[in-house]
Amino acid sequence: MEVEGGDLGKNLGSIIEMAAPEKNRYYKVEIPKLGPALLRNLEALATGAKYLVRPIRITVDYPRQVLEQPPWYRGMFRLLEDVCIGCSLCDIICPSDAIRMVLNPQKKKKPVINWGRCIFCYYCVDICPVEAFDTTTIHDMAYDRYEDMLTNIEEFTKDPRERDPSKGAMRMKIRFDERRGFIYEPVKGR
Amino acid sequence: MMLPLVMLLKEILGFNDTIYRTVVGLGYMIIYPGLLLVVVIAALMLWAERKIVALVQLRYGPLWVSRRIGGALQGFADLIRFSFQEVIIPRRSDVIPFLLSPGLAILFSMLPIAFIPISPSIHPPLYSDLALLVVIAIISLAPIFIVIMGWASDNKFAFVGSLREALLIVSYEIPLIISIISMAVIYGSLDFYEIVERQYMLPGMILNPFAFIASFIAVLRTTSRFPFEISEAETEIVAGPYTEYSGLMFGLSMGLAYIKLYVYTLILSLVFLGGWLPLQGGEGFLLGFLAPSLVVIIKLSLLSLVAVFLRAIYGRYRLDQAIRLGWIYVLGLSIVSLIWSLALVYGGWVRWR
Amino acid sequence: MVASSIAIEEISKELIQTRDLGVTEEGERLVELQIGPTHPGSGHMRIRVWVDGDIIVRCDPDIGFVFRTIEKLSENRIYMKTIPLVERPSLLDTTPMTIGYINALEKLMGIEPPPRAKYLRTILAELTRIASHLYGIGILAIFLGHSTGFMWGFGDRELFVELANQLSGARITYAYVVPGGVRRDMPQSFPDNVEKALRYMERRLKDWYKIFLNNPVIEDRLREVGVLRKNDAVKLGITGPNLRASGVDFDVRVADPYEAYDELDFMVPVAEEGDAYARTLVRFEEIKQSINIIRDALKKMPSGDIIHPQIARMFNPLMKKIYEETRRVKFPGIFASLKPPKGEATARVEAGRGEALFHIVSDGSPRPYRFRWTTPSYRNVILFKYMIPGHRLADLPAIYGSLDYFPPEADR
Repeated sequence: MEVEGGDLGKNLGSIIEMAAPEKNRYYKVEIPKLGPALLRNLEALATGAKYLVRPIRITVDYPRQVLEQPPWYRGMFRLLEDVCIGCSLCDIICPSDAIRMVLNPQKKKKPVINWGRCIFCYYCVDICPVEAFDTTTIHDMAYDRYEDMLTNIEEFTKDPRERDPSKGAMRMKIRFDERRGFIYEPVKGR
Repeated sequence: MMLPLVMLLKEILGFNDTIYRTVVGLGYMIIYPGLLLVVVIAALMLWAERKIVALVQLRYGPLWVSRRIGGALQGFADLIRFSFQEVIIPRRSDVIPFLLSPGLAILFSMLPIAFIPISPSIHPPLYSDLALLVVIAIISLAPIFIVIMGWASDNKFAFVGSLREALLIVSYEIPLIISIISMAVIYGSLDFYEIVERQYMLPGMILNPFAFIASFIAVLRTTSRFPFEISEAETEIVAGPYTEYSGLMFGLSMGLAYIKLYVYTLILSLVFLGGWLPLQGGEGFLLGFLAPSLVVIIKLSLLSLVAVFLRAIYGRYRLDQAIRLGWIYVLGLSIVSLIWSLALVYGGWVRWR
Repeated sequence: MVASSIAIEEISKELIQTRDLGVTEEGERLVELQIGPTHPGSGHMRIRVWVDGDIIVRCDPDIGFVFRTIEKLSENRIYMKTIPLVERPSLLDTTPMTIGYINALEKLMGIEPPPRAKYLRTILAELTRIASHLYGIGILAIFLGHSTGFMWGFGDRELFVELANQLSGARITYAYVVPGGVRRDMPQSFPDNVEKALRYMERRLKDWYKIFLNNPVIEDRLREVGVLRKNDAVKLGITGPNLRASGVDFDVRVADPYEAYDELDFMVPVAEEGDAYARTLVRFEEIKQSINIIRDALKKMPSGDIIHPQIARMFNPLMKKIYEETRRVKFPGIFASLKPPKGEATARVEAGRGEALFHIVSDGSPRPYRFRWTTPSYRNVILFKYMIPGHRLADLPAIYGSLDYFPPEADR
């Protein structure tokens, strides 16, 4: 490999080594002496065969099964109109200009949201001084037209749980497991 | 079942032997074990490959098409989908070779079925006592059409794929031919019936394991199974010689590999695994034709399943590494197998009446 | 094997100017292949290679397809709005990027987060580092045709993405770090889940070795391929595991510690050979070391605030009640008009792929005057030009995958 730069790099390696304050934090990784190729082939085949006999599955059979997200998962939310004081802080902080303020019939400022632009960062929810947003964990809403994603105040106050697209699906909870990674268990009582 | 029908047919046709043999031959080639069975087994092998690989890879594989049987009709669904897609022909390609070569490749891959018996009672349409040699000769012509496929598409990636295929054909067909011929040396005959009969004590796999391994590896290369999926390496040359094909032509090209897998494993199961033994065949349709053929198909499927399982284990070789492997290790193994079988025969260990 | 390199350099220089096919010394044609954006093995970039038979003679990377002008966009936005922007390019190890940006901002503001916040940030950063390395190894596997490695990389990564979901509320784009601390505290079941996930990963690493690293086919593809010598690596300014696989002892977490790294007990792997196999091995070892870091951090986690007391002072009663009951940090109104004093600040972090540098120039207004950001992939892309000529065409995906180059991160 021909690299320009002359002699500059010849000693740079050692300069960096001298400047490294903690020499004992680095350890050398030896490329191990691998055994004969035949045995390694057989080992690889045996590993594959092991998973044939005791498989692990990490996929969720969406849309028949839906994962139950933790309650603080950032999904769609709605406005509680009588709690909102119209301070416009959500409009100022929104990184993608999805929320903006409009006047409602009582001449008070209320926010409306463009779901196409929202990145679900919840800056607006976290900056609201009066907790005027009611949050859900619904994230898989789908719209037919772009204009449906632009809400007015009335649509923004509707509960997304009524339009939940995964209503008929079986809800699964995740349990972490040492051998299988994820075990999906159906959530009881739904 | 079929015996009264055959008797009826013989009476109707006025006991004309030639017409009877033509009809049976056509049935052999088109229905069973010919075209229809090949399509069914190729589609099922496609599904089996995806399911087996998915088991190893932490996922489910195809599940949606026919849920209750685990998605087994996925291969047929793909075939139907390909049939309805538009076939796009690039303007600057060589049109006649471009359109004809997948079909010709499949022709030369499926023609050997006319020579291979699948049961002891009904003879294949083109029965000959030099069948093994004829079969190997015909099926070695099929990879040439892959080279033509890549050359006829006006695409640099297809060109690179054809070059790779051409280099690999030369490296791996020779060991295949030598291994199969060394088995013919042990059996003392090129006739499939005699080859299967002479495995009554030990299957060919144990008589000459070197030939089995060498020919299995060569078959893996010819049908583009991992680790030899070099000519259609997706992340290097898009799809190799098959890049410009779409619609039914693409379906044919992808199915070509599975059809060749079927025919090659058919040959291997007759030569190495004992064919329709331990069933001896008998009178009538059920015992004489169907049952032994099912034994052959089961052995064939076992070999194919091992071949497709390797997709989950291996990556793909680089071209020069595969060529080096072919010329040094696989050719050496096949020459060792030839010497082994010569030693077996002339040392007096193997003797036929 | 290949014609003398000086003749090829001159001829290829001419070729590039006239954009025509030429001849080499032996009278053969060079073929130009465009491994363009719509190619399964190229990512979001175009790689132009000139091939003589099977040997690559010259390689030109063509980057910039995912350029999103983040540095310029940040000049028109208040400081808080840039945090999600900074996360988006390097979509796999998002947290080190936000940590770097917030560190620079906190240096300007002159505040330091409380210790518990530092440990939480470190845990999330290491979780994303494991996820990023698994992604990199998976991409290397699929480039070599090893579909099992690809699926395993993404399947195992799923556990860590889910753990980050439990911690922060989103799977990949967390926006978890704010000036002065973090936004949420960890839930009750978090340490148990993390321990189970780490044990799963350790168990799976053994299978990874058997089926991927010790696989003779993969070893043949990666050994002696793309050798990067120590001097060249330093001359070209390479960072990250690529640098450490060439024998240079340098990691920002040890050389210039930030967050909680100076209190945690971990080592950094370095290899000598500098080929693709060494780089992959270094990444596997780094996954093991990240497992150690997370365990250590969970053990040593201090209790206390997760947000700086100066910011907590500005909570109104409702916010204070929410903070004490659910440990969720609400933003006071100051975040909407953060005005750091005039000055400049620099911060360095070790992202999954190498060292990232953040430099903010503030002129006292709510918007930065200049935000300069260097990503590790941007510094590693030069290797395409210098390391690839001389290798075979089939080595291009192997080298690309082993460098763990991520085009959106390079283009920002």
